[in-house]
Amino acid sequence: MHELGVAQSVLDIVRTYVPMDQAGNVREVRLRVGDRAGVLIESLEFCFGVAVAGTPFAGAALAVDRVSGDDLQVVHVDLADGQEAAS
Amino acid sequence: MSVITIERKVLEKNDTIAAQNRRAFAEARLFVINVVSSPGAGKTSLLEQTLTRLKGRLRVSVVEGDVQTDLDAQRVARYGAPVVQIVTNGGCHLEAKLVQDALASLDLAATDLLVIENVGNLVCPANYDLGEAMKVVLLSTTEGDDKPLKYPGMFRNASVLVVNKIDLLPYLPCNIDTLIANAREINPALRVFEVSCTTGAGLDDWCSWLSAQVAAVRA
Repeated sequence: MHELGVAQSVLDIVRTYVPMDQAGNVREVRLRVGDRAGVLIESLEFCFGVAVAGTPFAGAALAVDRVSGDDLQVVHVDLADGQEAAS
Repeated sequence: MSVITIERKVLEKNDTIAAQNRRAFAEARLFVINVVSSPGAGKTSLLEQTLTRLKGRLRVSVVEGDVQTDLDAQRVARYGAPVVQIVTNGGCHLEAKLVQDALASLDLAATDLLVIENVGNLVCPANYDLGEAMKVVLLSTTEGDDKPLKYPGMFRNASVLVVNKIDLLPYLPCNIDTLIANAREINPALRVFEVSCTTGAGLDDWCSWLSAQVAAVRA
């Protein structure tokens, strides 16, 4: 029921790690989502699309590793070019 | 392709603020419960009965969470307790920041027990720490004895189960032993109170337990 807020939090975290001039190169944001996290993944994917629309991250798609437990973590982002940024 | 490693909890912002709330509660030495249930289980009724019984014994303050209106805050204010209403405008749960903002309107130093009444919802509030000492899940007999199995997250994350409306048991297919067994199957450590906010049954036990928790924090 609160996936839009979760999607916004994911984007907020990604923003702090990705230099703005690299935002357009983000192709994938990978999450780890536990089966007890209280998040419906299909809904989260939809909401993430809404959250990034009209932002420099509009080209990013969500990828989800499903695990057991209550994990809800941003694992990493994949960028299209070869530039590396330290975390 | 290059990769930026992140490995951060999505809800860490909430967890950080919840930890700040918890510190503020510890400094003011008050006991804080986060009361969760589905809509209509009797959270506000339990609060009214609790305020009535603890009047003059404990200083109770209340944070009310609702999707719309301050009707619950109006109900609680009649009992003389300081109360702050949070209206979530559609939000399905309270978050730590909303509670932190609400605390600015309360005198924590003049409070022994803070009751946070969450938005009526047996799903989402389970995943959001507000800084409380414990979650108290309220379940009414009219909801049926299978609810702990159907909504396990809330029962797993709660420390106390209050079963309300036990006066209606003779008229319902709900079996209270089954209800409690189902809840303990999810969370064996659950402390259980059986109450009726209509007849008053069980409420003295509940209030004695609350008083003991407050005494332990203030000792």
